[in-house]
Amino acid sequence: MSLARAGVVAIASLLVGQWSLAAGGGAMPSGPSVSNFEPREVPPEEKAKNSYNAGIKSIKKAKDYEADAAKASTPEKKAKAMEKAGKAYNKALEQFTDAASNKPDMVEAWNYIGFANRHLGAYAESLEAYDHALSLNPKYFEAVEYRGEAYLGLNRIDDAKTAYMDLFRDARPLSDQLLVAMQQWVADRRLDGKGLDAAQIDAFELWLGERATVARQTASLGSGDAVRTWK
Amino acid sequence: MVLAGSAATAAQPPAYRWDLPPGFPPPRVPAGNPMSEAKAVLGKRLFFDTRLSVTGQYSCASCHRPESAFTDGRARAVGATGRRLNHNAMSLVNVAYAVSFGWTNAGFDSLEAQMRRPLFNQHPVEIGLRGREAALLRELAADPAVRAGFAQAFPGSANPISLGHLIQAIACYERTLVFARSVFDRYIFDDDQSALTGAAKRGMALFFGPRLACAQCHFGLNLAGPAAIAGKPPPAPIFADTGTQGRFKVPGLRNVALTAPYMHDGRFVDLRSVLDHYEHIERDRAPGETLDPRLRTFHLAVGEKQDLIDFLESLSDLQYAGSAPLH
Repeated sequence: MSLARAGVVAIASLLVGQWSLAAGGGAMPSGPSVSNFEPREVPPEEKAKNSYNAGIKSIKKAKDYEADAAKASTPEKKAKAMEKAGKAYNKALEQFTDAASNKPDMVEAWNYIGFANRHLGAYAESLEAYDHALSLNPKYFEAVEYRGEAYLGLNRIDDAKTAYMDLFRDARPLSDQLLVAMQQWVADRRLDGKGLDAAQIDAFELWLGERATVARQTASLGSGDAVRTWK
Repeated sequence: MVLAGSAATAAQPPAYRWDLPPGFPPPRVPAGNPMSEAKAVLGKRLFFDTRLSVTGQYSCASCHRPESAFTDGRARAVGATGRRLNHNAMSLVNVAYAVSFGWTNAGFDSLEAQMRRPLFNQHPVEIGLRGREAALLRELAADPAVRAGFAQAFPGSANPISLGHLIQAIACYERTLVFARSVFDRYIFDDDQSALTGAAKRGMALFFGPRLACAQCHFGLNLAGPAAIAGKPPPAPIFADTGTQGRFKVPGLRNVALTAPYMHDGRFVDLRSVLDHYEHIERDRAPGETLDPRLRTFHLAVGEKQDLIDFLESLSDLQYAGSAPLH
């Protein structure tokens, strides 16, 4: 992890702790006094919104660079594109952290702090941010899905399964999204187990196969407003 | 003004808390009859109250018996005066999610609207309340427990004991009859991979698969076509001609193993007969009858029919079968 990245992650982690205290009854620090001669102080809500929107743009850039990397013709070009993606995710992390510092209950910003951290490989920090987002809004299912992917990054298979089942019950499209991520994770771990043995991957793949079948078969149960049969 | 507003807010009953199984979102409820615990409790009492009927010996529960998944086990229901009705008694299991009511497309889009038919119908008589409305309300008002129930269910009403409130209360109770703790639900929602037998899993694959395409009509969380979900506009119901001389509502299949006999006129005594019918539907259809285009022609191999039956039996919520819980 680069020093700059470590700094941003540390700030985001500190923010989680700070607002946990604030939510417990602690007073929020007051802002600087504004004299008549100073330019208008941008309200925190507006700052948060601006930073959040900037963060979304950075995420988009990062994804574009990742797409470039995927179709790069040489390893050097791929590495260059991935480096740019990393920088864009770092920038996004700073921006979402700024958004959350100005609006501590901005669930979306916390979700993206988790998202950016996850894409930077900082899974523990990512989980911390998702946990915080879900403490603010337990029904923010996008964070449940992202947290499921973070669990996969940490090889926490049982937690990932739980995330999948929570989504299957309450947010079927997101459970389908996590299922795809799980299938990709299995393919990746077949190449590099990262501490897992083959039997663990086999067992998970078996579970995944059954759940994929159930998901296909019962696709029409969830919404109740579409006629579908699985192929 | 502020004080009046606060007082009005304070008088509001607490929001109803659905106790729903996993995977089941809150159903759509008519704005004019919001759910309340007090209404549901009163509705349950009235649902079983034989004073509603012309003979004093018949109630909603006479056709919708809890022990038969809220059906009556007859091919065609029988009214209070003993006359056979036109149709098989439909199950009330998960009726809160229904988008239409009754076998035929009579335009009933709510339980409240539909309930007037069994209450007031005279040809044939079902409950037989017509002409006895005032007498019934007097009788109910003279019953302290019922009177208190109406007062609690409709606080602030100048006239709590009314036919409109009676219908609303019964509808409220019926909406609480959500049954979805079957082994099928345990398999798909609780991730209990041993809940379903291998045969039931094979039957499930047949049911939802393209060869039989049962889920072309029996989809949605109640396996009855579109479901009425809170916050979503009401979808159009499905009526289909499945070789029974007419277009009838697609019934829900939850607890289906407990609701024999089957079809709108109860012509089939068991699930095997229903599957036989669908397997030979082209061969057996009446001259000139236009079958629903969603129906498939198929042949079931040895064992497949039993697999399907095993799957259909897995849809029974045996946790609550035979009971009439509020939740």
